[in-house]
Amino acid sequence: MTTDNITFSVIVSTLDRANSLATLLHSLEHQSYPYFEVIVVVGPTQDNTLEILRKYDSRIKVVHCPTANLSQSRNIGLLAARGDVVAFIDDDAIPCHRWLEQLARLFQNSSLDATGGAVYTIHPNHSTIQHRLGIASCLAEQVDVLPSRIDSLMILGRGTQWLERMMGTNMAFRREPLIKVGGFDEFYQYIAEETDLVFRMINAGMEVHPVKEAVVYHVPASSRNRTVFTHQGRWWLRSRSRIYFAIKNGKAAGEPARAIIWQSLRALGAHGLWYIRLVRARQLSLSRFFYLAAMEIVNGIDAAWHGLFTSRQLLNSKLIDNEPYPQSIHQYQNAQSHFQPSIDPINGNSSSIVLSTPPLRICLLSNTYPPLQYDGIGRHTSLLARGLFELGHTVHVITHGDRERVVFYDGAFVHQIPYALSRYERYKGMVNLYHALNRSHAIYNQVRRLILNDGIQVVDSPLWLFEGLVTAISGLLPVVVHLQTGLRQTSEINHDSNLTLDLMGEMEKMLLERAAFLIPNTFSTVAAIQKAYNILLTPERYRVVPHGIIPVGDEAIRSCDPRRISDKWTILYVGRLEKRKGINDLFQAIPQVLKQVPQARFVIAGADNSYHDGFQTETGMDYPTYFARHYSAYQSHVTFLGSVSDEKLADLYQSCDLFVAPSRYESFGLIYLEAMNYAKPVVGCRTGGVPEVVDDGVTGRLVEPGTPSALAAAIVSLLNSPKQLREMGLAGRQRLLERFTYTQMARQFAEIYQKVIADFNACAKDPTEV
Amino acid sequence: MPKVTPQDILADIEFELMQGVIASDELGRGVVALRQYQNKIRNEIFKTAQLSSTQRDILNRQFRLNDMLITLIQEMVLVIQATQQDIRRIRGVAESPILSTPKPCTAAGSEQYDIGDSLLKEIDSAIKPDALWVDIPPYYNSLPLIGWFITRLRMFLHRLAAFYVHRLADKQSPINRTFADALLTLVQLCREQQAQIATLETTVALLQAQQPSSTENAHNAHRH
Repeated sequence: MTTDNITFSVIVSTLDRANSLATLLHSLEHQSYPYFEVIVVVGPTQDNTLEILRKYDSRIKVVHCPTANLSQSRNIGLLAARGDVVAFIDDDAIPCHRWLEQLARLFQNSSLDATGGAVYTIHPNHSTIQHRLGIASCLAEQVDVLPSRIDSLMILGRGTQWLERMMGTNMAFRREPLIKVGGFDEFYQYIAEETDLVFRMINAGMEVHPVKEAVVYHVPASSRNRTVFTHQGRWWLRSRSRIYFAIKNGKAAGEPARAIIWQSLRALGAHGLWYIRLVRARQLSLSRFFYLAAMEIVNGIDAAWHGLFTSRQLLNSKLIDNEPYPQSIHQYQNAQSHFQPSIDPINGNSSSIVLSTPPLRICLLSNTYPPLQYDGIGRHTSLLARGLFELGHTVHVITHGDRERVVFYDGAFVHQIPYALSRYERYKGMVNLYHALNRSHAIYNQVRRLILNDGIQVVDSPLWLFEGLVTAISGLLPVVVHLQTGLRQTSEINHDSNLTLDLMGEMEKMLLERAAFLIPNTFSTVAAIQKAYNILLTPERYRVVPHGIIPVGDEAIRSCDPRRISDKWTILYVGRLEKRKGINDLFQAIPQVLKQVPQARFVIAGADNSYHDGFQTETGMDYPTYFARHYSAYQSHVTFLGSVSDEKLADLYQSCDLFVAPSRYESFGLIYLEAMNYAKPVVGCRTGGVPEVVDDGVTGRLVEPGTPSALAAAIVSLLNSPKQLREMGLAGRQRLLERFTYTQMARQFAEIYQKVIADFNACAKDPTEV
Repeated sequence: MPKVTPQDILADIEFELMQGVIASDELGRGVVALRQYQNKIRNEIFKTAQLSSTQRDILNRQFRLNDMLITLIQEMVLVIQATQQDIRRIRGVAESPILSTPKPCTAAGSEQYDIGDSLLKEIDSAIKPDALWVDIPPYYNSLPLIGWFITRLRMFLHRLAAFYVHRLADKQSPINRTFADALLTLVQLCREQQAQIATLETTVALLQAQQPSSTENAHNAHRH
């Protein structure tokens, strides 16, 4: 680190948001830059804020602000600060891992007086880029997010003087110049105080230069001034600040009086119209409307009076604690700081595991990911992320989205990024390859940003669509590839072959060769990959880690009664209706089963894929129609449900007696695990990774793929023995708990990441290595 | 679609990575240095010089203007990226096997690689100075009362824009002329080379025609 001579005072103003504050203080333990103190300025609090602060003992300077005034609170923090630079962050935000490190690099430029970075709102239901390269005019007009700096050069409103501004939750100032310009104007109780300060600094000839990175993640919390994500709030404080700002800075910039008046009336009018809309939508009572209107007018007049006729004495706050502070900072972080587990910024949860090494910072790639629609890889990645988070690690996921945003979802920062088709024009004719390459490049760019902001150490990519290829080629970070079914294997199974698919297969092969380490889900996958890609995977290059799922609670288990003499047996099939999943074999087996067990009933859940697997071309109909036509006598025993929700699926697993999935190929077969989760015996095929999941004769039965008679015989034999159904089901559940939970999976992945990171760092430090 | 190999794609990926490095590192560093210099000067002036408030205001505005210009330069990275995009396209065309593989010469006669007289005429007409001039389209607004005003205002703005466009066109014309001259010279050179190739091919064909009889003569002599 080259910036260790700059010290920071991180100032947090807080009022009745104890939980958010605790989360922030926890996250500050992880800062990569250690030379900082933390000053918490507590307003007239009524919650358990002080109790939380006591836990930090002498590591934090706690000072008090007598009023609920943000500007005054910030000034008090400034007076208590001893760092070269004061950095402000809100109590309902958390900084990225390298926040202070980046700010320190910027302040290495001795001319820079103030800067700030981007702010992302990461609440799952309200995620957005809240601030990035924002600008404001002397008439309090503002644009918060700009794609580039050049956009700030255009005049976007009535004001003639426009400046780049920072957002209060992510801004830093050199301490001396900030004191010199008088700190924050305490007339602003809330809103616009930071912009006012920037105007004063710029007009005093100081250098203010906000940046696009140095990210802060914001989880807006309710306060006395507003109930978050609702219309409830003391909104008159906004118009009060805006009117005062427009008059004060408009006058200084030489704006004509009519522009200032217009802008002030506009601030009031906009709120007025909003209130009227709320009244019409019955979200605001009439009495509340009149109260708000009166407050707007009174505060507007007050703001105008102060803006026109008073000259404010700035930085007039006094430290009321009278504590003799030392002249240097008292570093916040201690020996244990770097061993603190990662924290969930939404609800403040963190792992209770005591870590012996610092938590890892991992980046997972997945084309789809919750909370948006997701596929098998998205589901696996989500479980892995959750498991890693529970082990204390910080997880970032890069996934596709229609616009750029960051969401914290189930243990991971999910970076949804769109990709532009701006590169690899040469392959425009090969649409899939063209998209995959551009996407891989967009991921690489995001990885660079995550290195800069969040200090990620390793990238984990699926083989499918070679998402991590460009990153792997760049050599920026080690790329671990987890192996499931590859595109080339799918092409071979579906007998698809064309130049694009061949090349995409070659790209997957290239990713296999460039990967720092490989994580196949079964030994069968290793063999299949070696065969499909004509590549030799030596044992030191991979480690098999099976998939894991979330075990359901024991109360959800309904295993079969061994003395049961049932008049109805339910056999469940889950999966897409397609050739590879062996649906045709099941169709042929059903009549044979029903001849011997007429009370059996088959439930088939999954979307029809007859169009894509060529079945419709061959027969002219989809699978359910085909069954209805060719097996009409058995139609009453079979129910096709189509695609079902997760909740419905859980019900189906719970209520079935036997699970059957005669896939002709599965690299792993998560569906068997899901059935085992509910203590159900399974019938599958001896193919791919299935024998590594299903213990034949112990947790279910396996037959040769494509043998409907053997399949029927296995089903019948199990249905005829309720005792066996129960025993196999319970054995399956036990096997799952021992080997296939998501935490076990995550633990093994983390061990691999640790080793890969250590190897990569060793190579990077060794100049003899290429 | 021409035959593409995985090595082509790898080369393209490495090329794209390299492009990114140039934009972010080299240019970025220069602009940062410029900004630092400006900050240094600003500091020196504001800290040392005794300035009246008017002078301070003027200087401040000038520095802000400079800031904006530096910002503009920073954003020139975008332009560079656009240029890089062009380079990608050109590179794509140049490396396309169809275009980069030379056609084999056949003994039957040389194919004429000529860009054609019609294209030359088009280039010639395109580089005339007035080709870059912009016509002002007629425009009438039929709104009552203010229509005439909008029409006049719009025509005025058009003329104003056209005035500057024409000045730019005057400056651009000689540049275009230079390019066209170079192009014509190359075409001329190409034609000469083609003529030489044709002559050489004729000579080769004549020599090949003579070769069997001379071989036959040598064979007869050997018999004797």
